[in-house]
Amino acid sequence: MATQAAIQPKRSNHRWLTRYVIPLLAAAVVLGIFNVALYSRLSPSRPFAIYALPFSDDFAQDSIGQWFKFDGEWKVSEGGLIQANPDAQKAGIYLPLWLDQGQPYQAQARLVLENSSTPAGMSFNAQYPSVQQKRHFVEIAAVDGKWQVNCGYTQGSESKSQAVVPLELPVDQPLDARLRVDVGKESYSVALDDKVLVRDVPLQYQGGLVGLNATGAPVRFDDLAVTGLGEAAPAKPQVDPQQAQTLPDKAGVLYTSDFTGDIAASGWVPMSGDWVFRDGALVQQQPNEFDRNISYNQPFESYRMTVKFRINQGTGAGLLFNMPDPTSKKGAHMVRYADDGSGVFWGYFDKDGAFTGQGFKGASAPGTDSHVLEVISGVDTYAILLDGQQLADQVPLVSQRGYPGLTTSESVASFQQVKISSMNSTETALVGDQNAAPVTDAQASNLLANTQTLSGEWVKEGATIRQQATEATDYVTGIGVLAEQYTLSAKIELPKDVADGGGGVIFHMPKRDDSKGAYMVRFGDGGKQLFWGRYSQAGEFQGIGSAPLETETGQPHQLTLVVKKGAFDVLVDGEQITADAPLDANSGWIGLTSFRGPTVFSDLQMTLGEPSK
Amino acid sequence: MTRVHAALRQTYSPIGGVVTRVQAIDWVRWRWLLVPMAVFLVSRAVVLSGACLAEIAMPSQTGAEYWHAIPDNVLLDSLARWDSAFYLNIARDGYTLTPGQMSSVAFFPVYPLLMNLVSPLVGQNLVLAGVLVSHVMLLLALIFLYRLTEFEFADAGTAQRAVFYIAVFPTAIFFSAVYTESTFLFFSVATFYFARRHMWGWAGVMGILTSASRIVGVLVWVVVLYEWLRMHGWTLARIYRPDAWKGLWNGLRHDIGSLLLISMIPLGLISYMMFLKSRFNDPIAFWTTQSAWGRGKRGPFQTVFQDLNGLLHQNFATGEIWWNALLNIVMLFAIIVLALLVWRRFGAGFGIYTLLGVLIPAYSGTGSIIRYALVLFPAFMLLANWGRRPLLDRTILVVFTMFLGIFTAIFVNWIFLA
Repeated sequence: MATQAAIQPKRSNHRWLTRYVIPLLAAAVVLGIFNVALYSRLSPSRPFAIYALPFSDDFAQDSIGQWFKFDGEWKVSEGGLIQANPDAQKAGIYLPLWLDQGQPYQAQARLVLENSSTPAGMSFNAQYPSVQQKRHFVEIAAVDGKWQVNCGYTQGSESKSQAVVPLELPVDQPLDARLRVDVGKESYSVALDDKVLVRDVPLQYQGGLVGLNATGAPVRFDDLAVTGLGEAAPAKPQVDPQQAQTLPDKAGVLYTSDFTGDIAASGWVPMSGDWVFRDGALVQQQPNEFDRNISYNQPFESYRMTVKFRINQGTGAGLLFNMPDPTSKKGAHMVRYADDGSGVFWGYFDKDGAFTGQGFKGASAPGTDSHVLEVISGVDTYAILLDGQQLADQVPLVSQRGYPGLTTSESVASFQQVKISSMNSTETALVGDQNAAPVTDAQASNLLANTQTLSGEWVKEGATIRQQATEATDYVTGIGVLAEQYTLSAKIELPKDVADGGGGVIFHMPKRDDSKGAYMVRFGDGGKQLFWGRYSQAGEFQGIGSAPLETETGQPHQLTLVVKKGAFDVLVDGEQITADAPLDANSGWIGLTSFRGPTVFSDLQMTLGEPSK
Repeated sequence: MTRVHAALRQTYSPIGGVVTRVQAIDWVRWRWLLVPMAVFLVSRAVVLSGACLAEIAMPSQTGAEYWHAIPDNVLLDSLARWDSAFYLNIARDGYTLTPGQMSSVAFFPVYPLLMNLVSPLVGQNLVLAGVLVSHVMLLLALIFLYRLTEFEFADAGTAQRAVFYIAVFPTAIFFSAVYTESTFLFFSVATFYFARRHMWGWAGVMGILTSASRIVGVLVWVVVLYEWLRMHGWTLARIYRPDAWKGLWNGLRHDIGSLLLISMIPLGLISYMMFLKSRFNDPIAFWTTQSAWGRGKRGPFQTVFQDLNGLLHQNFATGEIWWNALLNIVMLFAIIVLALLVWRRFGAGFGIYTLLGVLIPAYSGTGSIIRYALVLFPAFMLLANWGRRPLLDRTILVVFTMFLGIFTAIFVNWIFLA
């Protein structure tokens, strides 16, 4: 009896185990494996949502990437997006950007529409990427001699209008206006050139895609932007270098990876291969295929990209950068371990996707240890470091800005961290032109070796450069030097007998060939004053300070500019005019500027680095 | 002397030892495995050789739309036709949805997922992976069908006939093709088997996979639930009796754990719906895309009426008829009749499953009913029981195998069958 009593509970436990616990565990395992495999292996190979808010595109690049096109012939032409097929009656295109239900947002685009009875405009809250069913629309067309805005939604193959607003604009001229839709949780409003035309129209569909449509109309779209409702003016992550340079937070970090959660919502866009988040790392699992790539959906310009990774199987792995299109390797730069483990090579993919090598350096096989591969992408060149050792510098860039990515080739690699940060001064020197290296007095003439005229008539004569145009405007030439902290001096001779003639230096230009956003210090009023300030993004000069000078007209004067971190000093003929004037940029290109002419610049001297006290 | 010599030879020679060991095997004990394996080998040898011969010897449809997955391999190529393209695309590129067009979301994920997982083992050859999965699943399905039939009838002969009938059913080419039929059959039969053995947990596990294998897979939930009710004395026939409800109450009090395990079955379908929601914003995309296949919401009666009406106005004498529609209508009525008899013989669970197995597809159209009937195994179990009569048994085998040959030739030559 005692033995039976002892056995009884064991039997009961065993029964529970076989009847409930084991099947329940089996069900959990089956469901887990099924769901993981379903999401990781059978998800659409083409991501439904590549971009995230805020999004903007001014169509400066030739390609629009993998947008969802249906009907029509969509292409980028002369900085705008056009639909080139006049017979396409249902032409539309959607951004690969999915707006969740309840997400208030604003979509806007500039459109230039010729007198046309066939409408063109925007689609929003579209439920499907490949057809025109189930979407809202705002369209403009010429109806009975008047431009008219029509908004509504489609249901099946029918279009149902919700509001029609005639415009007091002549139809004999092309309509050039910014169309905007403010989409709330339950309703939307439509504005044209910021004038609200319709308010609080009920939404038929919640969330979805934003796109453009042109049913055969001769229309050109530009400056498409989608932002959260109430957010500031849209950033331009794809094409605006100024935005890319001002993105860093106080620590200078533009992006740092977080390889946890759902990869589909992380911003990482698998292009090929089998990419998963595992144990806080991004892992590519296909061991036998070449060029398994993934990209991150935010573009950067002038940055340092640091990738920590370990190769678990094989040897070919590394990074992609400056990808013009997050869904294609075409035009991208690549740096990675060679497939035979003999070293690291680098280069770029051309427009057809063919790889062109730019260099190779032998290195120990990666093994299974973690390595840190870094790329410093400057304006025209880039540098490469592996585990802190410099492999190359001043390698020419084919693509100056773009999306970062990761790559494997016949390997399984685990990418533990990806960090994008702004450059420091050391890195700036690594990737600047040769002229950006420290310049001595003896090398002063080199400062004029790479000038690039932006406006005016600039003529070089040895170590002297003369601007000859005489109109009352600021003429600019870049000298092809990018720097962060330096001392630059030039002898400037203003035009004689020109009361308002001027000349000086322009610096911290975000682009080599564009003065927008740059700082300027120059003589004015024939040398009677010195003023300094900054060009806005619209190209308008905004003064920061000025000082009167007692100089002789027609005589050269030495202008010295000391650029430090966050401030600059100006000296004229050795006398300090201003000290620690504020700077709101870290680095940039340097140029010369002349108001009227002829203005002569000579004896240019430059020393890189923070000036000694 | 001779007897001693023979005994020595049998004992000490290698062959003799093997013979002795083989003779010692209790074949009856392993019949549940050996019979399905034999049926599998025989039926597949016939189907595969027939498919190859039909591909080689008979003229096929030609044109860009009649693709060939592996032109240099007659055997594999002949098994990838029509909907195989969807499974291959899903396994290779993942799901797609284009509203208004035939989209791969209509095809449930278990089979293409298995293809995707197996393909690395066979050099990324998805067709081979699909064919391998189909055959392995068919063998497993036959084993479970044998055991289920043997359990129901306590008769090995009936079980043997059941697996033979289903393996040589006229549309059994789909068991070998890159189609989901084998996979669905295995998981559904296994679910029924475990439910009838009152192994509710394992019925739940298999039911999860059944509900993620085909749109009608979730029906097994109803069957398993009904079996649980029946175990506790509650059936439709006894619904008015107080002791039926008392039994149910006792079941709820003492066996609620089993009921919870059974309730897991729809999780396969729910998982797929959540996937569709997250990827395409349409959790029932597998249903909404059906219209692209010409399947509307007409209901089975109107569907059948339309097809019958069309057939009656065609010329049977010259053969200018919708032979597909004719086959499907005949099959629909045959299955409906069989389902009622299944209901009577095996109970409401099996009957409802068989009936809805054709009525749900017929709700939107009769197309492909002859293929859908292939996996309605309770009908084959019933036929096997009738097949005790030798004349009927031979008739069934002759009819089935003859049409199997014809249908196989039709399928591999790109003529739409089902």
